[in-house]
Amino acid sequence: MIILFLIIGSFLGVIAGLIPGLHVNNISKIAFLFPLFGDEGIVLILSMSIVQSFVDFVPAIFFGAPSTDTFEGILPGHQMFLLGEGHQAITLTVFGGIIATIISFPVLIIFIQFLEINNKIFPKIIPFILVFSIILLIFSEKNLSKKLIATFIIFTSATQGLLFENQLFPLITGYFGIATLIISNKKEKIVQSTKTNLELTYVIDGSLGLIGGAIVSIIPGIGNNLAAAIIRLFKRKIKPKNYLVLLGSINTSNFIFSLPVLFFLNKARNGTMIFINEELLLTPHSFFLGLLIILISAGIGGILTIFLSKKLCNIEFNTNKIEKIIIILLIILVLIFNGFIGIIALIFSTSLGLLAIKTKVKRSTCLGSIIVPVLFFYTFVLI
Amino acid sequence: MQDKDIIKICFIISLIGLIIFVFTYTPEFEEKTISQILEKEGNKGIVYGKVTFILRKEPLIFFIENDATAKVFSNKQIDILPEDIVTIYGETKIYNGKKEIIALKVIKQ
Repeated sequence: MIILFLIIGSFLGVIAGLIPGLHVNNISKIAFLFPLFGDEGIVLILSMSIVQSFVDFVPAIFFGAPSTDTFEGILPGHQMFLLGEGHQAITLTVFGGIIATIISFPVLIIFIQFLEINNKIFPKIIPFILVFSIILLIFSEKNLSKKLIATFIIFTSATQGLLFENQLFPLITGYFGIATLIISNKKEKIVQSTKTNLELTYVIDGSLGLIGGAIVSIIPGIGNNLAAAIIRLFKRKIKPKNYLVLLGSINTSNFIFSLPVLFFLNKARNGTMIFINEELLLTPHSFFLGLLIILISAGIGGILTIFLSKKLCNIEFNTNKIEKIIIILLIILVLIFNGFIGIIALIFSTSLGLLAIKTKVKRSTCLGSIIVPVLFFYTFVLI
Repeated sequence: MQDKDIIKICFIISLIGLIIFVFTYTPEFEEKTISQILEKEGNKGIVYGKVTFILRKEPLIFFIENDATAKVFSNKQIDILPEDIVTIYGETKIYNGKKEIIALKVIKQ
């Protein structure tokens, strides 16, 4: 019976991962509607979430359609797709996820103990890191006019982030999704290569992602992409390929760490863990089962993602047509999940994303919409 | 390293997990009817039923009804009312010579 739920969960994870914009938190809301109990419930929700954390990158890279967990991967990933290296980009994110799985298990207990001890120090450090990130974002631009535009984008996106509360999906869809799709390479057809070449040095990026994943799983307000963006700012010479490994690692390790964080610290940091905390019972027995399911599902997620990516490579993409379909789909999804206010947020965020592209200022400046509200949260709410 | 190598690693990871699962897994909480869980002391399970009567709020003691009626004791506070449908993760214990369900978790549907 457990195996059946594992298969169903993996299947649902694939479906959820392939639908652009569908985040695990949305799925968890759907899961609340079903009577899921006991071990079966834990197996279904965990396998679904882990498989989705791998498959999530497929629509982001192949179609330029973001989710709140993968939007930082769109830019390097979709760029590789436009060069016919979409499969390589997907494989890099899978590699990151697998490295995270392999390394995180042996270090799990050490990490939890470390984070438990330093739990109260992190909220005090975070505001300084965020301010430093903003300064770094501005001063990493080459000349004065670009620095000024970057400042303007950071302030505007911060205003959008504060104004459109709980509208993260339309904001990131605008900055990183629709803006990219409107101004992308208008090649009629792109032949995708299935050749992959992974260097062993990517293990370092995968390991680095583990730190990001652990931080995301324990500190409120810090998402996968913010952690990745901060790591990228501190490790400035990171190449797009290394960055994709890092993102894949953060995405998966966040889930791996969030289960012990719930079990040991009783803190639920994502929709899946909220569901387990509220609707299921996490005992030492089910915690051990959960870890096993994470291990099994990570392998399944990796295999299915590479398989899907290869299948997609065999399809000749008419990018113009696909881009139009994706834009319409994203608008519909924003309307479903966020309503009319979401559409307004989408219009403003797309405009800002387009400004960043046109002025050739780093798109990360749009992260002001996440960094500044989180900074306010840590400065005025937590402390 | 090629994608085929990654698939092999993924397969090994899943296989290791599956082998450990097959050799170690025993179900802890299974869905049971009220009469099944009350059969003997020490029975663990997930039962659900309708709240018929709340005896005390602190600690929470109430009665549920489905195929049978059972007295439920819970250390954790939950805001329930008669007629509410609840799911209980619990264990049967004998208290004052009578069987009752000690709830580890009560979930209001």
